[in-house]
Order: sequence, then C-alpha cells, then structure tokens
Amino acid sequence: MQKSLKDLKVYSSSDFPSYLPKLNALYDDLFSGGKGFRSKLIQMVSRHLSLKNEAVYLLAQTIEFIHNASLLHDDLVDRSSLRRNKTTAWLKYTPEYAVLAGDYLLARVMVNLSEFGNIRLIQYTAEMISDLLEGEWIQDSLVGEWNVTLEQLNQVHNLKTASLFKWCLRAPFVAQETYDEDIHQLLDEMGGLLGLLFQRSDDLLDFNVRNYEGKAILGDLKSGYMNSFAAFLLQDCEEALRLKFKKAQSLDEVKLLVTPDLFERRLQEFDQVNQESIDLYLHLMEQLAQALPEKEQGLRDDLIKLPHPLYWRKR
Amino acid sequence: MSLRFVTVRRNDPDFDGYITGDFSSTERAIPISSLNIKSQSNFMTFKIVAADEKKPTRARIVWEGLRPRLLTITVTPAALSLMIMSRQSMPIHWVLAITSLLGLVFLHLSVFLLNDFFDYYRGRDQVHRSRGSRIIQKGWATASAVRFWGFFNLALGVIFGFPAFFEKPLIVGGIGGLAVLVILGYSNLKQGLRDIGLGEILVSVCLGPLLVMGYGLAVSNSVSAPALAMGIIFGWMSSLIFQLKNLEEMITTYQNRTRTMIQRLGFDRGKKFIALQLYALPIVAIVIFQFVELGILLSICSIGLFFTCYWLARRVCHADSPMSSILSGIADEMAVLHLKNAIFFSILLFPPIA
Repeated sequence: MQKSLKDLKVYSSSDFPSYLPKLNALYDDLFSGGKGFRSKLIQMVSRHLSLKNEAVYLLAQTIEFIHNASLLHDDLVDRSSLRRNKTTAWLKYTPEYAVLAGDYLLARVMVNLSEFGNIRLIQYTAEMISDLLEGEWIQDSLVGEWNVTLEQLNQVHNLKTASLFKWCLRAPFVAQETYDEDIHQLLDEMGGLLGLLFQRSDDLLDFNVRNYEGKAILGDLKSGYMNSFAAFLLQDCEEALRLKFKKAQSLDEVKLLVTPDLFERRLQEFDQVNQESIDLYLHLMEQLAQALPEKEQGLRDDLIKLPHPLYWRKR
Repeated sequence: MSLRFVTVRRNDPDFDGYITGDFSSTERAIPISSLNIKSQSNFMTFKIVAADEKKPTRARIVWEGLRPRLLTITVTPAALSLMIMSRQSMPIHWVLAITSLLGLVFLHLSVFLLNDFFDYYRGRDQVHRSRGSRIIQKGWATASAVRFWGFFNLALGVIFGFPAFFEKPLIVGGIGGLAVLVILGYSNLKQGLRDIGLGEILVSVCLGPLLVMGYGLAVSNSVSAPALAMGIIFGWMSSLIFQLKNLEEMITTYQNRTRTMIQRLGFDRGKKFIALQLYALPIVAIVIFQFVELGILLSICSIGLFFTCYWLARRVCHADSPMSSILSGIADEMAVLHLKNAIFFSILLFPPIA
C-alpha cells in the first residue's frame, strides 16, 4: 500500500525495536515538538519530481533522523539542559543512552537507504553526515576563541548547517536518478546559501533580534561560542573589548560595550550582507529554472518563497 | 539600487571578458566566492559593480598587488650574499650584480602577480580565500590588468637578467632552467610537486642555497661558503612561511584534497614538525656559521632569531585547531621575522667591505 504524505509523521515507534522501551521513550520525547522544517523542504522539492510517496517518505525520514541524531549528540557536547523547552535526552536518560540513540538513528538511516537501493543516494548521504560531524567538531574547537572571523564561521556553518539544506534540495533529484551536473551545482550553491541564512538568522536570535519566538538570549556567548553576528559585530575591535565582551551577562551590557550606535550600524550592515545572499539565491534560482525540464518548472515558485522568511522571519 | 548578478558558463564566449574584467569599462565583475570547494563548477557567478565603487587610491592598489613585504624572500639571500662576497674581497662584477638583483626583483613581482592571475582564472582562489593579494577579487583591479603587469614585470626581469645570461649562459641558463622546472612542477602540473607534499622543501632549496649559488656564480664566478650558509637559513625561513600558511589553511586544503607536507603529517604532527624547526633554526644557524668565514658576525646576527622563533614555536604548540586564533596571521609574522632579520643582517654586514 502506498504511504500517504498527508500529515507525514517521520517517526513511528513501530520503526524501532519494541524490546527497547527506553529508546522508544527517548525518541517520543525527541521527535515531538520539532517544526520538521527540513522534511517539509524535502516534500516541497519532491512534489515537483516524479517520486513515489515511499521515496519522499524515506527522504523526509532520513533528514529528520540525521538532524535529530545531531541534536542528541550536540546537546551532550554542549552540555545543554533544554531542547524544545524539554529536558535534554542526555540529562533525562543518561549521556550513554543519548549517544547510543543518536548512533542508532544514523544506523537506521543507512539501513533504510540501502533497502531503497540507490547507491549514489547512500554515498551522498554518508558524505553529508561526514560534513555535519566535521562541522560539529570544528565548531567545538572554536569554543573560547574570541578572534574568530565570519569567514571561518562560514566554513563551519557550510559543513554543519548548510550540508543538511543542500541535501534537502539535492537528494530528491538523486533519488529520482537525475544527475545533471549543472542542476546539482546550482542546488548545492542554493542550499549552501539557505543554510547560511538560517544559521545567521538563528545567531541573531541570540542577540534578541527578530526573536519573535522568545528564544533564550546570549546562550552562545555564555557558553563561550562566538556566533556569526558576534564575529561581525566585533570585527576590527580591540582585544580588550573582546575580553570584556565575552564576560557580558546581559544584552544591555553588550550594547554598552560596543555602544548602541555601533550595534545598530553593524546590524544593518549584517542584514545588508545577508540580503545580498538572498539576492544571489534568487539569481541562482533563475539559472536553475533554465536548467530544469518543463514539468519541473513549478519548483521555481516554491523555492522563491524560501530565503526571505528564513532570514527575516516574520517581517 | 538592487544588485546585479551574471552567471556565465566556462565554455561561453563571453566568459573570458567577464573573468579578465574586459567586458566593460564602467563596470567590474567580481566573482562570487563559493564555499562548495569539492568540485570545480562548470560556471561562475559574478556580482556586477560600478568600476569605481569603493576603490582605494592607486598607490594602495599597487602596494597590495605587489606585496613588497614578501620581496624579502627572494631579494634577501641575493643581497646579503653580495654583501658577504664584498666583505670577503671576492671579485664582483658590479654591473651584473646590480642588473641581476633588479632582474630578481622584477621576476619575483612577476611570479606573484601571475600567480594571483592564474589562481583567480582557474578558480583556485575559491579554495584558498586568504591567499594572494586579493586585489582582483575585491574589484580593485581587473584580471587583465594584473596579467599585463605580471608579464610586464616578467619582461623587465628577463631584460635585466640578460647581461648575466650573456656573460655566463651555461650557469645562468642552467640554474634558471632548473628554477623554471621547479616552478612548473610546483604549480602547473596536474599532480604538481606542491600536491604531493614536496612544495615546502622546494621552497627551502630554491629560495635559499640554489638562489645564492646561482647569484654568486653569475656575479663572481664562485660560491661564497658564508653566503651559502646564510642562504640555507633564509631559505629555511621562507619555507617556514609557507608551512605556517599551510597549517593555517589546513581545513581548506583537506577539503580540496591538496596534499601539502603539513596535510600529510596531520595537524598534531604538522605543528610539532614546525615547532621543532622553529626551535632548531637559530641553533642550526649558529652551528653552521661556526664553520665559515665571518661566522662570528653571522652568529651574532642569529641571536635575534632565538626569541621570535621560540615565541612562534610556543604559539604553534598551543594551537588546538587550524582555526585557533593563536595561529591567526602567524605566517605573516614569520614573513615579518624574515624581513626583520634581513634588515638586521644588512645593518651588521654594512659597509660591505673587508
């Protein structure tokens, strides 16, 4: 029977062994509450391709499994106590279970993809996981680094965040066995831009900029991590200011240190840089539209909607 | 004003116009940097900006483009060996000495400018985003202007090198030919010497003893032992500049699958290897200077090396990753150390008389 994509639920407890109740309980907690943005992106792209529902379901599940595995590991590495307003898995179920649960998800991904039988999809997915882990590793090595540059962070985010976005755009084409080099290169660039925009917008939340969801602020700074906006804000600033900056406890303190004027000016410049990335994305999308066959042209109208809300949020 | 982008395929007839900057006299095409460096793209996307947008003064562009600070790596061994030979009262053909030195300066500038151009033209600058002068990528100069000045300097280098070539065709031709082979092997071959991890050693040999030998034979018909010893030390320092740069850029070179020596060693062993060289450099300098004429004077010159090398080695040892801020700009500091020592040696060896 064909799987329906309506109310697609990427996680079902029947996917995992019933004799491991703790594992199932952990996944119940983990998969509830997420927005499923990446799996929705998969569906958005797949809608315009000739993919069977089973294939779309597999891709959506794959990206959510990988993303959630990375969250399990990430929370443990960062010693975070909250994820989606709930106690993180490593605190609730022990660090050992969190590691094993993350590993198990990645293993399931490979089992499921192998059953699908597209070797290029398996290879591409394995490369993406490898990029993701490299990015995580490098990012962790940057904790306590107060002279990090935006250029360096771009490299990290390209591996850690953007690799998943690129996969969301490209994997449906790979699953459909469309290997056109131009299409994949354009999708790679566009996915990379989406990933950077997503990350930078997320980094702005840490400074309470367009924080409509009321996320906790200065989390990165307090855990010793200089995010992209902090790096942009402090460019050309002296060492002494950086030292004071890392000890800041509140946003007011941050703004006083750099002066409110400079904070606002740098924010505008940062927005301008990212708006340029949005413009570039839209340009590349037009190139993609020229490379796509007639029946897939609808993809353009969907992709055009993505970058603006991703970066500017509710504006 | 909204931004304008243009995407051009590499086999498109318009591609050359955009990449060299000749497509318009009022606009400039700045290639968009891509983080996807694992495969070379079939096309390039350019941001189109007004030609005079955010352009610094001409003097600043020339300064950035020529990177005169790095002249020390080629000029120092030759200039110091000239001073040493003069102090040793060796017969020197002064016209050849000066024209060859000028030729060397122009060849150096030409290599750096053409390297900037070809790295940009072949898309290698997308991989090494911090390498080179970046004047093309910033839109300060067109690629065709950089290519023109590269070839112009090459022509000047050849012209100034002619007197020495006519005087000693075998020596100058032989050593020049060897240098050309090394440069080609280093940068142009598909499996270049740089990519199999021998680049750093070649830099050390070519910018040190080989340069001093060639210059000495060309201007004085003989090789001065103290000059050769000094060439070894400065060649080694030049090599360390490149090794430190490769350590800083290790993540990018790994992703691009470029095999530098440091890449082959890995980060931990690579940094130990560099630190060991930094500790050893001043000691080796003093030891080898003991066996040559003017050794005491050269040893005194080397004392200054101790402290900076020690300081740099400590920093290398404490770095946790190639992105560590401890490593930030360390290759440039090594270049400054090279320059400072060049100045210090020159002062101590001046006036160049016995």
